[in-house]
Amino acid sequence: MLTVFNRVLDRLEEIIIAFLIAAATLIIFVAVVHRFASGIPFLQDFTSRINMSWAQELCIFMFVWMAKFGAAYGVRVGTHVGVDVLVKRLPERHRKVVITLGLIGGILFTGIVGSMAAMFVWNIAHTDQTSEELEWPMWIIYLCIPLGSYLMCYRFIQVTWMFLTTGEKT
Amino acid sequence: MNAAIIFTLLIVLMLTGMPVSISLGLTVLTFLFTMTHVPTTSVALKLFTGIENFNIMAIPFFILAGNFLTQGGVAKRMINFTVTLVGHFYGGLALAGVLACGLFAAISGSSVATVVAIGSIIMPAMIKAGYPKRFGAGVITTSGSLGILVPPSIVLVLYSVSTNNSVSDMFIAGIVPGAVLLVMLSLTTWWIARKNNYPRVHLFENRSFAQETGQAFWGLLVCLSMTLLPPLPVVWALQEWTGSLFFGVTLSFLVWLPIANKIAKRTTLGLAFEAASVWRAYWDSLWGLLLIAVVLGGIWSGVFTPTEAAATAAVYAFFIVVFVYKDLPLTSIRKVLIDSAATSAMLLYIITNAVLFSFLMTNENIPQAMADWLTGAGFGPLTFLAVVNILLLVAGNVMEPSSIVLVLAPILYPMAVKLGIHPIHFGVMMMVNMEVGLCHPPVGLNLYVGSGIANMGISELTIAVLPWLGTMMVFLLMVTYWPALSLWLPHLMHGV
Repeated sequence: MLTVFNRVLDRLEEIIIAFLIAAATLIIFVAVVHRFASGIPFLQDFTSRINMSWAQELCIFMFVWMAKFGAAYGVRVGTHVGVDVLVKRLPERHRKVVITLGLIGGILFTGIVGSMAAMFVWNIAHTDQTSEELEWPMWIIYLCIPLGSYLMCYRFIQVTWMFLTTGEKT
Repeated sequence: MNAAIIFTLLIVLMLTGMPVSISLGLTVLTFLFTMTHVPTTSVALKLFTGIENFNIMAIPFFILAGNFLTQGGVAKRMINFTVTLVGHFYGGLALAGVLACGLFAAISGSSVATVVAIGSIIMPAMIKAGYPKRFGAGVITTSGSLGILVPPSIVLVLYSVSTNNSVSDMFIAGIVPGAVLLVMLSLTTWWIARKNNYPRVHLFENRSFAQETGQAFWGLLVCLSMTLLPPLPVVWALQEWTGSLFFGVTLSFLVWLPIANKIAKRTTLGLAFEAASVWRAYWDSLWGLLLIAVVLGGIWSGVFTPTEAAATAAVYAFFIVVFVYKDLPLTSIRKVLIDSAATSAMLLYIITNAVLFSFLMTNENIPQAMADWLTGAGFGPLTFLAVVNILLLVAGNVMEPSSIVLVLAPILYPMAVKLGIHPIHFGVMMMVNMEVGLCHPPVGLNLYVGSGIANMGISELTIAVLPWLGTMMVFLLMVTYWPALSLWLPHLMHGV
């Protein structure tokens, strides 16, 4: 059951981040082309009917979402850079303790931030704040912080568990 | 006192080997819960708004563009081109490698990507041609670090964002120092090659050095004229008609370049020997070289913001690699996307936490207090710069460039400004420090990548890079104490 859940989660994570980076790139590219086309007299009738002013905002939202979920993916595959000069020189037994401590730090931080953000989103949800251009409710947009942080926390727990049981660190 | 606690905690956490982003975040949290009364909601808000900045979005785009370019044969074509240009000098292949690194650095934003892209092609070629492995590995590992200084550069974007400077100005400031370093690295390479009589690339039998140089130069001149001159009347006519210079340039070159490329594939316009080789290699690598014009030209002339230029570069890189050169099968695209997203997310996550960290620092007035202390203790700019250089070089021993810039720039920058050092000059100096840091152990990323490509141990490679590392140190001194080197072009272009 848990393995199926994990597999679906892994897949979902990859699809989300790949889609977000590709879509954001296309959106900004289209916005750039649109802006240039607007500068050409005989295309102006056509271009003025399309409004692309939301592109920047949407791009930022997409990338913030990508950052949060990508960071969780990064914990799983080990892209996060750290200073391992000292750790590498420690004797085997101490190294294991230090690495576990580091991983627990990760669990702690993402857990706390997730909860703080969840409370924050809860408060925003009771206001009617919307984004400037798209006029989407802000709490949905901010939802990526608790979701991403909790997912990251889950990944840190997974990695810690793996490390403690098998001794492997991704 | 508080400052001491913050820094000690940060350093201790980082030394446990946990991700830099998490160390920053935990430091901030500890501090918040124990020592200040900043409301936690404003911290939660910072987690989102910290990266809610359109300039930062250039980073994922440049990473994506870089990953497309590294996959494809753009680097190979650039190397072919540079070999025809400088191959006949002593150490020709190595010189071609340095030049190709410079060209590739001008289309990709990362040093590591540059080392991988150029190194994995030129290293085997150099060994086959009889160069000592050490020489080849040393050249490529160090020249690849040009990726940080030559725009577009991801680390430059990070510096601009964390110090509130214009990304375009920083990019323009990187051009002249980048070119100077390129020349200095080439001279070192050439000098070593001449001393040891390393092989030269002779494309044709029995040609004198003067003939080879002259022909290569002549070939380059004809290529550039063929690219630039014919569309000029059309550009002028279109500008008269539409009133938009940019439209004229874009449209006429969009039409002209494919035609010119077709023509060039059939005839060499009567060019012979080296000139003809330059001609062929140039047109073959045209689409890669054109990206330099798109990105730098676009930012320089102000038609693009750096972020737009980055997005355009990503789409363009995708297009040429997949459809024009057909180096990348459509099925690998998913992997490129995921890898780019993961790398960007890692950086964006450090940025988020670095923003929290510098929010905390400013809240506690730490940089200001340090700056006051510095001026009070009678430190002049010169001493300050020397201290900063040493600090950055030490930091370069244990951290990689993006983290160093994100952690240290917000602290050092206010002091530098207070001492009257120009923001752009300070930024360029930081970049050169990062370059040096990339090339020496224990965490020089370029060293690791280089040792992977050359199949050579880190300690041996460390000795191999020494001549070029020395050159870079000399260059660092030049950049530090000669601000005009960094400031001349931005002054000229934008009156900064």
